Amino acid sequence: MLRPLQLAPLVLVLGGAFQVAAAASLTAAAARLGAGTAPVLACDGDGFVFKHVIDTAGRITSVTVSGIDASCGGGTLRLTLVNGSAGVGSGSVGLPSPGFTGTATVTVSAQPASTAVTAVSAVVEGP
Amino acid sequence: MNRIRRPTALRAVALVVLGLASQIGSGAAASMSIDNAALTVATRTYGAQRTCTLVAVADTYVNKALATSNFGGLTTVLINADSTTTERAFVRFDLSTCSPTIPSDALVRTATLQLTVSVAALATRTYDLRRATAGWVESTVTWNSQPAVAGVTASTTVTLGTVVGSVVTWTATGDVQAYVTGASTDLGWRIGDASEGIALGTPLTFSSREAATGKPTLVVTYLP
Repeated sequence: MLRPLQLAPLVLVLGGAFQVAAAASLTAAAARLGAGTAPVLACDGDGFVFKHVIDTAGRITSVTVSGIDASCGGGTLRLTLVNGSAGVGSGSVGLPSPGFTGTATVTVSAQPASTAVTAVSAVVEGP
Repeated sequence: MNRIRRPTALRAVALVVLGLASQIGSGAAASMSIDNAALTVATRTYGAQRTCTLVAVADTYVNKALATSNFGGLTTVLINADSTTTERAFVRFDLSTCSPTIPSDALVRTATLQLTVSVAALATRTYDLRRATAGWVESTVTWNSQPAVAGVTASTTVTLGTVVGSVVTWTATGDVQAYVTGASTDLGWRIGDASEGIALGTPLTFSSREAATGKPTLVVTYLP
């Protein structure tokens, strides 16, 4: 069963999939999607490291995400703090290009208590 | 440190795209293209909560009236707002001694610093916990050499008559999270009266790590 976050790329890809073009091949792999002469490649294949910043009230105010491949520069990093299956905080930041160093800090809105978070997910859209 | 990638979403995407391709391919020559749309998904799901309880590895206090004296070997630490004999306590813990080791990307849920009253409180006062921003040595630090500190992390009020053995706590979750991730260097904390400089202040006395009981303690709960 897909979670909401996992549905997001699905929707995007479905949107693109209905743009039927001239003869082209299609390949797919866990980290690579390709169609015709416009290959689609996920920019990072080995995951990220998440480090939280917590204020004096015990709330998560931001998350520093590192280990992002430099090729993700130019994309948008969207982060969600999760409690069980529910999102309890989120934020996004544009990754600079050129000059992306592989680390980005996402300011979190809603700022949940650290006791209310069990997981964190991130999606890089693009570049 | 964990680097976890969950390609589930991409697999789902791939499967759906392949499914569509199969359907489309069964008819007339047709295909699809996905332009300029790349997605990278990563999820970090934390493990079950753990608790680490630490006893101070260093503690002492400094006294304004005895500005070159060190009290690191005593069984008590004193805090006093008196303008002449102002006293401030310092305490430090070694998070690296938690077993198992707290990963640098762990999520700290709570961190509570505990001091135990060793002489009944003679006044109602509020005490501030501040993160030390420079190093200090238990056996040598004095009023004149005390380290700089950051802003107030937490404040706790102790009321007149608080009895011996009472545990006074400060919450330092954010500080400990920063220590764990390396965003801040773990140099311990200073505890002082929130309103120093009064006349005829009286000290509040806590047990130090050299005492037989009631040693300063830090309790950390976290998700590895």
